Amino acid sequence: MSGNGIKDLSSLDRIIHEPARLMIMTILFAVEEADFVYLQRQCGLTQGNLSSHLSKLEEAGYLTITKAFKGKYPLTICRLTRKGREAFNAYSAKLRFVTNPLAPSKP
Amino acid sequence: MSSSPVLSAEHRAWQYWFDDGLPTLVAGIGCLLGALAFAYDHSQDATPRTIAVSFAALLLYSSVLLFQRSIIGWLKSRITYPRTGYAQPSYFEQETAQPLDILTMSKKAILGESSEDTKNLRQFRKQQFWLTSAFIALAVAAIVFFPNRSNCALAGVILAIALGIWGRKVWRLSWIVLGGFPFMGFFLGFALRDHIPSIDRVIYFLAGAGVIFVLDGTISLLRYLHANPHPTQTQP
Repeated sequence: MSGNGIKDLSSLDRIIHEPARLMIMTILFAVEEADFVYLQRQCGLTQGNLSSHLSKLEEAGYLTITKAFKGKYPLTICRLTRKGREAFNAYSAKLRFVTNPLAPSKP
Repeated sequence: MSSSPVLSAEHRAWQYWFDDGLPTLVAGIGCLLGALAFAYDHSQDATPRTIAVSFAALLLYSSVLLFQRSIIGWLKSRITYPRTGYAQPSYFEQETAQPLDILTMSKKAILGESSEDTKNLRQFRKQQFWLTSAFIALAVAAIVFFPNRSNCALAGVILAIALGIWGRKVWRLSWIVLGGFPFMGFFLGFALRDHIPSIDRVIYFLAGAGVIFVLDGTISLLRYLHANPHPTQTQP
């Protein structure tokens, strides 16, 4: 954080800041891994919408998408990368700092 | 449960693991196999047939204990994942799990106290594990070392409390499990004949636990299958 007050808001990670992607990141942060169907049911997004957001997060290097078989059924498994976990932690710390009226110093 | 989205997502993933009843069903089958193995193991009239049955049951029991997670995973891959998806809950503590209360940004969360909630929850889980283990040990000791009728009934109540503590904040325990153990304790304590050897009481308890878990798991599985019919579309 630069300490420039309101301008600090512009340094929030825009990839995570989008509500649908924030939902996806939150769910994946809380589990080891999850598949497309689980994420779709939890987030309430359409197939196309979820696919597009997952692609953006994958492009940013925040998650990995692997096609795997559990039994004879194909699964699209998503998992946060270390970079993704760190980005989510940094995002939460920044947002907490920005919204905390008593924040003494940088997060 | 905390209102933090991270914690509630973690909680939902844990609940989801138990929703289909398969973990309970497998645990029940394990208990029944264990009871069968131990029942034959110390029977007075050991014939080649009883020894063979005992050995087979012991082998199956050990396999269920050792490969429980793999067995459940195999069953889930055929029943659960195609219907409602796959999620692997975190078994270990997250490296730097910091709950973020964005949706219900309370004063408490803004002031950073929500990270205390995470620590408290993880501390609670550890305490929960040790407390449950202590209660189970107490129940087994009551049956083995002080095998009288009231202790048997008491052990059933203690086991129900232990499972209630363990299941709290992890999955919804059904009335079959919570009511089944005290009922089994009273049944074994008062309905059976006197002077049952200690080991037999343990075997009866193990078999009773197996029946309770299998019943609960089967009902949960049937409910799950009814609520989630097999999908027609595949994953993208």
